[in-house]
Amino acid sequence: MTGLFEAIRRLWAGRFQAVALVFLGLVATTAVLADCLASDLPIVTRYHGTFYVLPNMFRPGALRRLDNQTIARTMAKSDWALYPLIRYGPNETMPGGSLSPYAHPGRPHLLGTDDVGRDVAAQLIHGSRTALVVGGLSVLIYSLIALLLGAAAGYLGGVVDRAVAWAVAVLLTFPTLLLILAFQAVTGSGSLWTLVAIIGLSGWAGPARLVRAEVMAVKARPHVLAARAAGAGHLRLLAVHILPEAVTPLLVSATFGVAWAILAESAVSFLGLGGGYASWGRLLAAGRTDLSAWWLVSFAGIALVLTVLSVGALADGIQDLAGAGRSSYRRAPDAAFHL
Amino acid sequence: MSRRDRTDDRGEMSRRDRTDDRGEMSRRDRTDDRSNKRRWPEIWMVVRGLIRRLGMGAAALFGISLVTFFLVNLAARQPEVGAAGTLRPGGMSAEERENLRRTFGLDLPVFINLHVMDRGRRVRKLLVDLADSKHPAKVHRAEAALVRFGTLAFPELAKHLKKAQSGSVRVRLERVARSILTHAGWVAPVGGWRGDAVVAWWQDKEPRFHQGAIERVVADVGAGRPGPGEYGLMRLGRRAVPALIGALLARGASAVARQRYSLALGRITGHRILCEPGAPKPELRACLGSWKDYWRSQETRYRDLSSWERFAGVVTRTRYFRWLARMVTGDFGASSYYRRRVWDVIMDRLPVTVALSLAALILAYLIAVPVGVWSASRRGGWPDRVLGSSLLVLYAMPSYVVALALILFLGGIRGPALFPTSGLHSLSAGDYPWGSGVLDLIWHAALPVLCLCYGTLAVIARYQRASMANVLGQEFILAARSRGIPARRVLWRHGLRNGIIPVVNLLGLELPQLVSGAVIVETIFDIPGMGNLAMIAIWHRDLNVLMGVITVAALFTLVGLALGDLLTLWADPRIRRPEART
Repeated sequence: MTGLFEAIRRLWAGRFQAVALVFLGLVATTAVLADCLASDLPIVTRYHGTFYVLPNMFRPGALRRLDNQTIARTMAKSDWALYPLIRYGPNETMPGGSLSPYAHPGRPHLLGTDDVGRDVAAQLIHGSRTALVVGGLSVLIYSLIALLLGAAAGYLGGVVDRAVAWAVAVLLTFPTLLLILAFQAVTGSGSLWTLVAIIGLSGWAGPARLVRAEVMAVKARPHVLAARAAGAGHLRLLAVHILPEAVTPLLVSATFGVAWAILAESAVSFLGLGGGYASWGRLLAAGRTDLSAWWLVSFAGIALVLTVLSVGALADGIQDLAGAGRSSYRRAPDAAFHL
Repeated sequence: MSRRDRTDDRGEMSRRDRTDDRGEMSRRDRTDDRSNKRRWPEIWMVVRGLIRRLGMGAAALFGISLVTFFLVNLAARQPEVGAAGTLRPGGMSAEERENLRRTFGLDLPVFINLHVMDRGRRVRKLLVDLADSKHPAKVHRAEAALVRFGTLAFPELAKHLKKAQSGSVRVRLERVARSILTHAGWVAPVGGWRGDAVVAWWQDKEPRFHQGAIERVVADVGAGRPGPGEYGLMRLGRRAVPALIGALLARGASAVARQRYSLALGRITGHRILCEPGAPKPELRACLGSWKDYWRSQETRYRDLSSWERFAGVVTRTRYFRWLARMVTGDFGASSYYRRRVWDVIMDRLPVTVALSLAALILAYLIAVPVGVWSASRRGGWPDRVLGSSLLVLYAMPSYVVALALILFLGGIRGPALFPTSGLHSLSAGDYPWGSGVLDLIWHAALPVLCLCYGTLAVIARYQRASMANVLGQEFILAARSRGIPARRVLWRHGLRNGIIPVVNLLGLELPQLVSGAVIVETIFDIPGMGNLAMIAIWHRDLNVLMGVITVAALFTLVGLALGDLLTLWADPRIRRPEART
């Protein structure tokens, strides 16, 4: 734990990384609090005598066909409501029963609306959740797979090593983005979870190779041999003596992986194959149909670029941090793919 | 520099990893290294590497086939989409739907087929079903199915009629036979098609259903001489289909004959795809391909299998094997949207994507390698930090955002219309003289290539910087400097020679990535390449094209990886010489 704090302190020392950390923290907070920041229903309300807290989350469907504007209009005398910062939901096309596509930024829509009248600010806020969920979950899945397979291949060698090597070779040839698009198109629903599953199950090839190489290198070091001579079992050797040393390249590659996954999710939405979820890519797609509506492209584009940039800067920081103390440190190959 | 210096450099490189005692290699040894004797292991390494890549390529294609197979099976759950026809939800007859299911092999088991069916087995099973008195629905289905088999039901039907003594079964058999024979236009004898009459008819007419006789009739049809009366094609019914298909797909068949065959086939089978005589070549190929698909999926309904075929069929007559066979032979079927062979459609668009990708890649390497080397030579300094940050920014900007910004500011929406934003040619490009045609092309390709290029550029430059910084920290660089070799020469020659190896290897990964990038960029700039094709295929649910594009993209990756291997081999002598790797 102290190591973690120390790492954060060192990252903080690099100004670029500090800014990136702050920004990512902001995006993460937005993602967690998205429902309180922008919603089509109040955060807390007493409506016609009934008490609701975050109705979208805890009582879905209870206030169907209502929204902030309608509730404000039809409220009884003793009713009250605490409204979110942005009083529109990310998928709400007719707030208060009126349709306003391509509304300019200002009032009532802070950052304008898109081609079907959805509020841009609300979509930005909920899009951060989508981006972080896809980026975080899918990379978590494939990092775990990579750790498992890479460790097995590097430590056991022999048949296991060969099998993993072949699986990696096969997986590396998959045109990932095309497969994601094809699966999204074929499953029809285009759900966020298929996206997470595909990236998570197909992304482990490169990281597994990294972990394998690192495990093989660490395996031969004296401290591992000493631990083995002292009678440590295979699992203990791996978990205590080998993997902690092998994790850093995986961490760097995973951080870049998060950036790639965020870009991939946006690309899928941009190409019109996202589902009904809010996404920065969807905003960009809406902006593409009419480029003179500058607020569609610019806000989402800035959010996307800044987030990916922060993640990349963080990865760079981790890389430098890991390389700083050791002379024999081998730089992990970083982001090989750009979208 | 003299020749002596050059040999020295090379000695340094290849000895980098050797142990100390080998480092003291005499000059004589080194000349030996390049002698004829040593060349063989080098070539053997290359061949072995290629064989290994081929093996991995086969494995990769196998993997791709599994994934795409899974995809197709997901998609084929809704049979009215991805069909070899237009999208007609709900407007499909039961027979069409059934045919479609068979085209996708949905009537077959997935991996192992323990009940390989052929015509005879199917008919016998239906005849047994027909005698089943317990399940009226089953009997009814069997009756309808037998009628659909038409004349194909025959030797077995006659045999059962001869055997059947009990009333109800005989009545059913007679009903089936009557329906088949009337439909085929055979004139009923006095007293109608009673059991004995049908048996007698079969005994009498059987020779006309022999292969030679059928082929004669088919040849007549092709030549435009419909045989007189009952010798005609209608009388033969479905029995004539194998011979007709054979004649249609035969290499030497004339266009007119093909039209007649396909017309006759359409009338008999209900698969009404007509091969017009005046049609352009790709259309004809699409038509023949459609019939090939039909035959592949329906063959076992028209003919009996030999025992060997049935044995092999346990594996080969499954959904997956059929898919694999199609992929291996590069036969992706017909495109439902373009109504042409998928291979033709892809081949039209492949050169565009390859050209764009290669242009972007070459441009990226040309810029990124010097930038990376220069940045590494000043590592730690402010130019390096600024450059590093801007490369990260370049990396973080997705191509779709940049493309939109470029269109917005350079495409004439806000600001001057400096570049065209869609397509690869001006509308009037056909009239341009050659030189301005090329200029027009470059002008149109500028923005797309830029969009494809900058991200790859950032990645390569970062790689180059990292690997170069690594190399420059090593002792042989210091040694070279201390020998009095100028800093620039040490950097660009001694350093780069080592520092470029990982970057060269990266080529194998970047080339295929550009194909993925092409999906986005080509869609935005509306360029008729493979990426755009993939999106069109997705929108129109043109599964065959989509599978083709995915497979070609995988092949692209394989080629890229092999290329990366070869280039690494060229760049890194240590890999070439097995004895130098200790």
